[in-house]
Amino acid sequence: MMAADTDNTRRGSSRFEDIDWNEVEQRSGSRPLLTTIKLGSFALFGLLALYDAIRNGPFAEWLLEYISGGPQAEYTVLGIEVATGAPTFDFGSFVWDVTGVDWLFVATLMVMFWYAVVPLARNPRMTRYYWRQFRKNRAAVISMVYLVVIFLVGTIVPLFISVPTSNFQAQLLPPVFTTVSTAAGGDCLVQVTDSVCRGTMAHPLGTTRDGRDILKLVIFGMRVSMQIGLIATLMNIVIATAIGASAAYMGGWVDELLMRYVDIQLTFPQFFLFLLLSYLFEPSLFLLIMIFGLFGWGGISRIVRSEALQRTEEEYFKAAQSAGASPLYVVRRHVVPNVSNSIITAATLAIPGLILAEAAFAFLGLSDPTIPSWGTTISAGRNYLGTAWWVATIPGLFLFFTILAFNFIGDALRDALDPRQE
Amino acid sequence: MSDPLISVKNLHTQFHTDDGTVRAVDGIDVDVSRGETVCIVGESGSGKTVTSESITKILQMPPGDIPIGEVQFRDVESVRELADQFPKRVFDVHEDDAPGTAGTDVPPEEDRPGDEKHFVIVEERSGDRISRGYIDMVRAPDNALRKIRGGDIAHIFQNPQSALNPVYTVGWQIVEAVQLHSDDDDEAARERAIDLLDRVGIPDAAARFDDYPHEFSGGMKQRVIIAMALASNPDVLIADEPTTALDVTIQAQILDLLAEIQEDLGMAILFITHDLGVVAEIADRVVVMYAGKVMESGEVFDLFESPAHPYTRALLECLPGRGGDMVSIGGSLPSVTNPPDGCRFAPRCPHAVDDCFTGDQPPMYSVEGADQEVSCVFYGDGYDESVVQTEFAAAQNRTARTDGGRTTGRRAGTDTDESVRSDGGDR
Amino acid sequence: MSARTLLEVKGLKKHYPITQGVLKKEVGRVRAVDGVDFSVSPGETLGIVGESGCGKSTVATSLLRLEEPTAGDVLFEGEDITTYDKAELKRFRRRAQMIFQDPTASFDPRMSIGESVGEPLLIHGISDRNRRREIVKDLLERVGLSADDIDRYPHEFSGGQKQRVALARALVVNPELIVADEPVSALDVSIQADILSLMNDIQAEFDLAMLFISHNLGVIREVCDRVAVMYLGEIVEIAPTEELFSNPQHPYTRALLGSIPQPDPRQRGESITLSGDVPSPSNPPAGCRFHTRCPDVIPPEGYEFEQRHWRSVQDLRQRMRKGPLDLETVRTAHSDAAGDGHVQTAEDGQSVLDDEGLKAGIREEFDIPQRLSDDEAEDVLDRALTAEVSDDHESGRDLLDEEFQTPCEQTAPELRETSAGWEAACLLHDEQRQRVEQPADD
Repeated sequence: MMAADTDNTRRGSSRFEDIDWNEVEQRSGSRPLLTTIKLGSFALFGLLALYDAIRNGPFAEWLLEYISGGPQAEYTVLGIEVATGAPTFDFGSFVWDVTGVDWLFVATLMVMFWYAVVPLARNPRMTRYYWRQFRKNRAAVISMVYLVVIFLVGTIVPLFISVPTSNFQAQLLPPVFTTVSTAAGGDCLVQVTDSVCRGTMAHPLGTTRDGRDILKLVIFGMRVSMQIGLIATLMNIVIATAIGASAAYMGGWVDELLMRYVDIQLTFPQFFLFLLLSYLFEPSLFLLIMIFGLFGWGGISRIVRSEALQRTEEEYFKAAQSAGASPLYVVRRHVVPNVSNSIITAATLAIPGLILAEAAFAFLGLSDPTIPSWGTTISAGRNYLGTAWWVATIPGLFLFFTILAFNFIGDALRDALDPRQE
Repeated sequence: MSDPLISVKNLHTQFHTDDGTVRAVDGIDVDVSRGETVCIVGESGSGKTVTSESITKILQMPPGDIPIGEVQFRDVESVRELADQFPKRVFDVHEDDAPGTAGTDVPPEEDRPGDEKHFVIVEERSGDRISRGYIDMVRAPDNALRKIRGGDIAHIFQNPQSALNPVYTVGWQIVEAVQLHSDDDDEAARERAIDLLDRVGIPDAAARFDDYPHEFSGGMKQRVIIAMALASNPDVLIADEPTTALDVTIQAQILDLLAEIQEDLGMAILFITHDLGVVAEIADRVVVMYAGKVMESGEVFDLFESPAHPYTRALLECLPGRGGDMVSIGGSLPSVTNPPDGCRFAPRCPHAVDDCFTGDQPPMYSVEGADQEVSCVFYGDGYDESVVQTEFAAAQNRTARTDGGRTTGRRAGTDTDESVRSDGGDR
Repeated sequence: MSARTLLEVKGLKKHYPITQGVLKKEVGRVRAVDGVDFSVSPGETLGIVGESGCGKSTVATSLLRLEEPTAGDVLFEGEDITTYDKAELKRFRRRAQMIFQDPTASFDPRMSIGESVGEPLLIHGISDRNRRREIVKDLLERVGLSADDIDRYPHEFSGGQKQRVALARALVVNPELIVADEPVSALDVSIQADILSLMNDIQAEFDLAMLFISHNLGVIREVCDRVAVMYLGEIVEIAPTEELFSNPQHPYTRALLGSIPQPDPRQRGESITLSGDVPSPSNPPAGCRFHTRCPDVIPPEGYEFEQRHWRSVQDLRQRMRKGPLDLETVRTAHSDAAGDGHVQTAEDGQSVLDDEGLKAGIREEFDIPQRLSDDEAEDVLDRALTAEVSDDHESGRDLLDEEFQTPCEQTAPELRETSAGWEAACLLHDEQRQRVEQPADD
């Protein structure tokens, strides 16, 4: 059994009894390389965001307005030239004016990368195991492919194309390969032969009443949907995990206080909060995301709390404690990973609700009309359903399939990740 | 000797899972007679619980499945009753031939006339009445099984907490069990329930009648469950590890109680356990299972004094606390989905020879001079069984030596034994 | 084994308050551990054995301060760990490790075996991942697994393998004390032997002190040098293992040893069966806590009882203290005890026992013979039973209470050295010693 005893020279210091604990306990720990890179990337992101906030954000407007006396004046803060209106990145051909929502979106993607993609890549065995479980649900696999395409197209393509603008030369063009009779009241200005309006390759999915390209609108709509869904959900997850885990782990009056607050928050729908605030301020995507992100976590935090309460009864918590781990360590290394399955499942099933809410607001005309979301496009096409079915239907189909896909994936994740079924 | 009350013949129970078919029970034979306690002993994963659940088919089907095998329940009254109820599914061995000409062998299912799946098998009639026959539990439909389960064959399980419904009083649950199998009115059922509770040693039975399960301790709950099982005057009691969740002192009480009840009521008990100590305490016959197969079966004294199969011996030698050196078995259980060829125990057996690794599990050979059967090639033709027994002699000596130490303790215990009130465990 | 003491526990108590109402007013206490003393030397294994609920696991968790003990001192190398601050406690927890019962629940299913075993190293400051992996690989091989297992997950191991991993996790920070709480109870017997011999080997190699908690005396006998027997939060006997098994001094130890079913059918029926259940630790019996079940409970002065009958009379007396007897059960279940003479047919046609019949039924219910050998005692019992069946419960109860007092409920025995050379807490021994010391009294 103790075969390794014979060659202790080879192993040298890799034997547990050779560790000099006096020396180890004196020394403070150093960070692994990956953690350093991770922290570095967040720091870089923070600096960039701060730079943009000073130079170009609402903070800049305030600076120009109240410190230097007028919007046209120039001012320099910490060596940064303050100028509103200028795009954040301007490399000649690549111009990207990063908005508040964009910053949030980038932050969300970074968090997803470091806390979902990297851990999965570092544990290939566990990843393969989950994949095998997930793969059993074919609809979910198809849904995932669909969502990945939506996600990639929605995040990358809008960086290289501009928001579609009105083009009165191409109003209500039907999608390519389809025709519509001009007699039916279409305002089609081009491609009219035999009083038939034909779709063109220039606008493969047709155009709206004011001649905007529906393909581009749909692509921008993808981005809006992903932003709404991912940012607000991530905010929900972070807050819900923090609140739920601390309530469960600390217990007592902390638990009581936090959970009673959750009760109160849940009595007040975010829908009405948004209505209320959009009368006070301009309705915007940023406002919508903030409201749903900051006030939508009640249900998930309850799930986290009850899961965490169950898990803290398990012996491995006692094992970690008896090994000398601090409460923070136990929460971070054991509570959070073990409730993450429930969180991910709950979150995945919450995303469709957020996307639908945005679409509903847009449909009711309660959103920023300049944001090209699916909801706004559907809303714009609702009056032409008889003559120009494609305006409302095409984004509607994308919306429908996206919601369906998230629901399928949520169900599959529940089956694959839920440890109670193991 | 009369027919056994339950005989399990060539039983195969399988579970179809994502990882393949788990052959939990892979062709075993067990007989239980009236008034007899048969213990199935084995480690976890040996298939002992699945065997017990296959008898009344209380296992989940699917994924469970019994493709081959028969479980014969030879209670003439039940046979008569079910023959009346399911006349189409009765198979009479002598129906077509002149009485007394053919043997009483039951032809295999595919050779029987008719399309019906027969499950009531009649072997002999005296006049019009059925005098010998059995119910084939494997082929019996659910509505026939329901009559037998809890009535003629009662089950008790390992975990007393989960076997009682927490929202009903203990008394109500026993009354329910009583009325399920009798026509007693409420008053009579209540009296019978109190009688049963008192019978299983619950103090102040009438006062505790209206208590809820959580007001009872673990040992008391197990007594209540035994009372419920007794409610229908069963012929067979199947007890699946009924004392494993209990403390030793309480376990001793429950074992005493079971032995006492059996003596009074003449039930057959099929007792599933992993604890050889418990086996030695209550068994008449023992069946040793390993990886879905029977390794050895026999009369309890013969089996403990001269265990024939290397696995049985290994199991006895690895018991902790006998004072001598524990000898661990080494290795691990074979794969359940893809068991090895030959004897299932061969990969861990110190005596294994080439023949052990080929073909099927060896047949059950009788052991000379003992009421024992063993599935080991060394008891077959051309082998010398002393090969696997020599080492045992050494173990026997050691046991005898270390027993010396224990006997001293025993004697100290026995001194007091006289002054201890004996719980009526007169055996 | 060295004479130095590594761990010394003095008067350790752990009480859990029972609270009621919104204000969490304390209405009682569960005395899970109620004053235990013991010590463990390097290289020694001390076993703690007892039934479930006797407080043996609470001893483990409160001496490691996983739960704060209510009272008492725990000295580790002479330092009182109950006064440690956070940093000192963390250092102590490196030196004292714990192994748990359930090998499945004691591993985080989301962590590979390598991460779990290396976790204590990480917690105690070894941040170099590669170094941790090297140490863990080496250790896995030494507990009988393969170094390649490091990246596998708990669900891929059998129970026995997981318990090997648990042993590796406990060893990895090179502790001086290992507290093992029922480490083999969840395993099959054939696997138990492997794990126990591994523990024995490892202990011998590293001169570890071990506190081994189990309900299974067989397992205890296999690994322990000394054994402490616990009953209801107290230690009733503490002795070297083989001596305890061959010559138990406390009646409870005898009963516990006698209840283990032996794998020998020739010995069947020899077991001692204790009556009743373990009393609740929230309201332990006065005096000797075992006196409510003790087969050797001491009879009062002035009466000559057969010990077995005395136990039965005690059972009746304890039962009567709780309230009037349940005569309905006696009527339904023991109507045949009285004999035909006492069964009368009531007006509604049902047969009913008269008072004499009831008294006989009560005797049967409590296993008391129809006539006690001591006439005076018989007289007292008969008077008490007469009072009980004629609806005068109080006087019957008081009569029994007064006349049949046992010294065991009046005096709580302390752990004292017995004639056998080790400590047990039983008045029988004190009495014997008193008799030896003061022969004039007899």
